[in-house]
Amino acid sequence: MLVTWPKTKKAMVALTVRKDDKPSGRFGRGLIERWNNRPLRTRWIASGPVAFVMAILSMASLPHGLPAGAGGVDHLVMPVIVFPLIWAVLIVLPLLPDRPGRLLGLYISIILAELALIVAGFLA
Amino acid sequence: MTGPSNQAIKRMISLHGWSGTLVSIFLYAVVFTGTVSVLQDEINRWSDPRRDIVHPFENPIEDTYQQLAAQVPGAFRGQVLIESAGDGSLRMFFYEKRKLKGQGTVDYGRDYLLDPETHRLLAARQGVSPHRRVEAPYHDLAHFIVDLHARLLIPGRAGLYATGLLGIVLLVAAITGILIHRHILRDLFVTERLGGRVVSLRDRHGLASVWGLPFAILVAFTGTFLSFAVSLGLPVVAISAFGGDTERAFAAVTAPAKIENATPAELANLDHIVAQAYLIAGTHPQFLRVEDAGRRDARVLTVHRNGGNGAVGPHTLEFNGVTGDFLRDRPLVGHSPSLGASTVAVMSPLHIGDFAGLASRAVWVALGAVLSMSIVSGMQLWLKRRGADPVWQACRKILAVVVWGLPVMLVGAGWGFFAAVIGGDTHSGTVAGFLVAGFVVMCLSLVSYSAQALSAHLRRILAWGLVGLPVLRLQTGGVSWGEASWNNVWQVMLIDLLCLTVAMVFLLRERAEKRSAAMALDVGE
Repeated sequence: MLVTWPKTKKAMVALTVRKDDKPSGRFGRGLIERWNNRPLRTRWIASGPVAFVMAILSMASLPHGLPAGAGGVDHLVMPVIVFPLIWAVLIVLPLLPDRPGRLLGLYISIILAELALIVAGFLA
Repeated sequence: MTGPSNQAIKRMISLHGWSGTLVSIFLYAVVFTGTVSVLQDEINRWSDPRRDIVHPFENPIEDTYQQLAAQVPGAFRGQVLIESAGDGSLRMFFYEKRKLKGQGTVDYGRDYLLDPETHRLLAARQGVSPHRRVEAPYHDLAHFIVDLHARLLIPGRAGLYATGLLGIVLLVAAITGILIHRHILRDLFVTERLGGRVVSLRDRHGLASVWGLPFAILVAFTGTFLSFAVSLGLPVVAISAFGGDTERAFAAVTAPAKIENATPAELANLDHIVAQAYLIAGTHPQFLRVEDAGRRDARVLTVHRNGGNGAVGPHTLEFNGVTGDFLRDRPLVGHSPSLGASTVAVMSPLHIGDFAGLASRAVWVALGAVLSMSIVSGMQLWLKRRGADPVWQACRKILAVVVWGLPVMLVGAGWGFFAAVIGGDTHSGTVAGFLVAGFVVMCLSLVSYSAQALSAHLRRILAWGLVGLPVLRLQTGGVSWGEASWNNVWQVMLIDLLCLTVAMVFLLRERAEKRSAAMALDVGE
């Protein structure tokens, strides 16, 4: 099949952005497209500060979500034990997709969910 | 199932290389000193000039405990710590929990140091819980090496954060290493192609890394946990679940709840408890703690180190303080055995290989050496690929300074320690020896014309320094081989032989290299 160079900006976007990458929301789609347009910067942000904050918040939020276990301390101890693994995996994950915008979006969503869990724990 | 794309692999190779390069010097320092630290107990005994050391729990302690308990104020009788102090004497510390301004809640009471055999009083003082490091001058060399490993000599929490971050870097390097090695099983049996080319270094790095991969993940994971658990994990959990009260969080994790009963009651015979503990754990306790003495709910805990009676983790045996009956093997955290308690209990033994005596520690030393070699070969590969760049060329010398300079500095610390053993301050002596050796390494690096020449100089200094260590140890009153055989102090012979063997390997290798260089010259002519 003969592939012709796209002549309009819309056609160019249609060629470069895969349909399955498009989120449903207008705001979210624009943001993720912007992150995808600068993959290196997005990976730095996702693997660096966002991964660190997410790992710390995982450690802080899991005590409110995990069962206490037979000894009554599993919910306090296990988050501290898995913290290094969580952090290391979160650093490596943004390197895998060619378009890391959605992953950064996922990271931020999980951070918000963890914050909600911590606030719910405080209120409880 | 498809693996990561080619682009993703390129990105991971980049992260693998850069993350290692930026911190490789510190990573090597932590891994190498960690490898030496595995033999901490052996080094402690090797550097200790005392011939015959009596364990304080080998003799009955009940009568002495009763005499001292009768002397101390009533407030201090409730809690008692009995242990082998750093200098080998028997400690009995009678105390209470007291809030002091600026220090929070501390253990405050009377501290007695006694001769381990005759129980003659050596020293007594009143104050906060004793500083064990100050009392162990003969253990300063091993303490110094462990401090360098655990904190890079950075004081306070900053040192733990630094080594924790290095653990994360090692973990990231291991994970990316797994993902970028597409033929990981084949790489287990690859042979190094000769010639000192890029492929040779790649073979060497791949071989060392693949064999050391499970160990790298294990020590990086456990080491990061040990660095971050108290310095970061506990405060975060305390803020999240206990409103920022770290003491309450620590108590919730480590002190199980019990049914209070303040009815007065006599404490059980401690000698009977120690004897029972020995039968159960197979070792003398590291320390014994009496909780709420004089009450019906009194408890006696004996804490034994890892590896007793085939157990991987440590034993914390709990006895009824009134009847002396054995109650249970108390988990390290929580009130009952659980997944969290079991995992925490094995973290430290797995990190230092202390779960099957000398055999497991020997394996850990070998794997630590492989991991050190993996870091060095990775750096060599990185520099070889950038051979044309003058900046990276300069880094080859820095690599030589670190790779061979650090062992030379550790040997220097040993020389400083033994020089200070006779009447001097062993801590200052150890630090001074380390710094003087560092200064010598720096001077040599300035006058050496190439990285290879510098490496050869430093290897020679290291070899002769190692040969000198057993000699200096003997000359400063150390235990001789005859005395070591008589008193079964095998650690002396082990470390002496280790020093001499490593030195001999370096000297023989240098001789072989010189001979092959001379032969090559003859053939050329």
